[in-house]
Amino acid sequence: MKKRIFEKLLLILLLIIFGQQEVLASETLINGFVSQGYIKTDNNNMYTNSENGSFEFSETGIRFSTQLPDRLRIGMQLFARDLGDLGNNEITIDWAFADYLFTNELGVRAGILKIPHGLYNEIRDTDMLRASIFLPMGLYNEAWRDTFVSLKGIGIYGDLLNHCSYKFQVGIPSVSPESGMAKSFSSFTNSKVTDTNPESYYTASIQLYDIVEGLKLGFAGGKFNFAMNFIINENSAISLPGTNTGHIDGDGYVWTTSAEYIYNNITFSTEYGRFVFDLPITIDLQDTDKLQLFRSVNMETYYVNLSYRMTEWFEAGIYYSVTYNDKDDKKGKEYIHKFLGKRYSAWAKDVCISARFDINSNWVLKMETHINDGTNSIFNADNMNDAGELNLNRRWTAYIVKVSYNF
Amino acid sequence: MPRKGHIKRFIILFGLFGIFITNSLFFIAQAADDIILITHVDTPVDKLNTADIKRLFEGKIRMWKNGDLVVLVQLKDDIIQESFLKKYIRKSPSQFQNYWKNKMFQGETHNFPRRFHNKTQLINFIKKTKGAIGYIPSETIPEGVKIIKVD
Repeated sequence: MKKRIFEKLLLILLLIIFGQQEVLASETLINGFVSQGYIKTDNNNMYTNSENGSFEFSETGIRFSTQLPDRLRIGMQLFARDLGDLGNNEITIDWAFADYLFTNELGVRAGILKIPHGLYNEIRDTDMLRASIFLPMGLYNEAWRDTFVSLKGIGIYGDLLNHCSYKFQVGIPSVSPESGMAKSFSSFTNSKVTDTNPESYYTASIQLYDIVEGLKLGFAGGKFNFAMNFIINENSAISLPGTNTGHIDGDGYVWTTSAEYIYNNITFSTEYGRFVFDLPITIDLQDTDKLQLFRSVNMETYYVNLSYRMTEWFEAGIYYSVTYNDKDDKKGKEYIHKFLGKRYSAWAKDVCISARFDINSNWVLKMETHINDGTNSIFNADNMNDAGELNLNRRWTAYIVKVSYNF
Repeated sequence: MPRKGHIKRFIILFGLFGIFITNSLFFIAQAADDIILITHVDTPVDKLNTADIKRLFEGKIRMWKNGDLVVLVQLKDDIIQESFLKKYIRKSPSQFQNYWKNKMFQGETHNFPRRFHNKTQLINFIKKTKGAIGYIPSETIPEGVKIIKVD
């Protein structure tokens, strides 16, 4: 609730600022995009009811930016998406900040800031900037987007020594009961998150560019804390007689190393990432006793990607992405004792083949197929049968089409 | 075994294609050599090297030493733009546009390079905008702006 009030006040303030005559006269830039997609899977539901084919896949974004006197810049991007029951077209502030540039080496931003995570997190919603529809889902988990896309806080940034850019930020992450992070927890434990308390998020990124022409190297990391209260479902593995509530204090860090090389119309990129969460769970028993459980996520993910723009209107791409929920349990032998799921829920291996058609400077059509082994990238909650049993298949294929208009 | 007539036609076509490509490259190279960089008279720089030009037009240098913000301008001329980008930025026009869209949607910049239909508009904008820098064909040496020497 606090998060929504902060965002609404910030939105009102920015709209007032942008509505001022002086600001309009100083050339406010407005850009945006609208997209609609369709997902069909042969087995398993991917975020949506995709086994039957689903159009519940749309995104809208609009961006405002203006340069005020004395090196102050303000901007914001509003975003709404519908991906199954994620987003549901609720308008959110993707980012909104004031930016003051002291020197080329030092600038300051405050507000809702995009989190630097890997090469593409800050532009993950703008798929007109890449060949594929979905980014490799281990590193850029669509389910966790609302937590990892931005934080409310302050940061510094700059360019150093002609080949290095940096960002440091501190703030509060977005973890709400409706978030993908909460849904993931609910999905693993068969419970329902009732409220959340996001606490802190520290991030840092460094990129080295043009040491070799066309080459970009990056390192990014972040540490965060959050808390959740939940209600345990009756058939949950952590349900006990007489109890149905619990609490979790999440503590975790993420880091990525990245490389991108662009040569003429060929782009090659590869990234490696780790997500490490400690999840001490407290379950309320009768008579004020409590039961302590401990779960951890020690995720490892990596991918290689190649795309080639063959003509001004056609680009093809292919990537291979691998994710393990626990890098020390790649075969899932321990996974089935800790989390709700099948053994092959411990990994996700994905071969994605994409085709992008630039119809003109505004319209883009994309088609892609994902050939999957493992189900770590999808929600258990979307794959329960009428009897409440998990209904998953290890190997499955997704076919996705998306049309975007950008302005 | 291809007939001699087919081989001959192939050689002629290949030769014509080669001449066409060579001329195109020559034309682009010639166009790049005929481009000059111009900036507002108060911009505190008289010469730039190619690495600086690349950093400027990729938005990595956002501010001049006198505190004025860098304002980038270009002509909407495909040939001039393509030759400038290939020579100094080492990107194609679509790669360059994508690069700036990238920065924009990250919220990294307000400073998308402005584009003008003709060099008169571009020159007039630079004359009245502190920190502005752009490029034009060298056939006319404009007054009221500073010409940047390229190392």
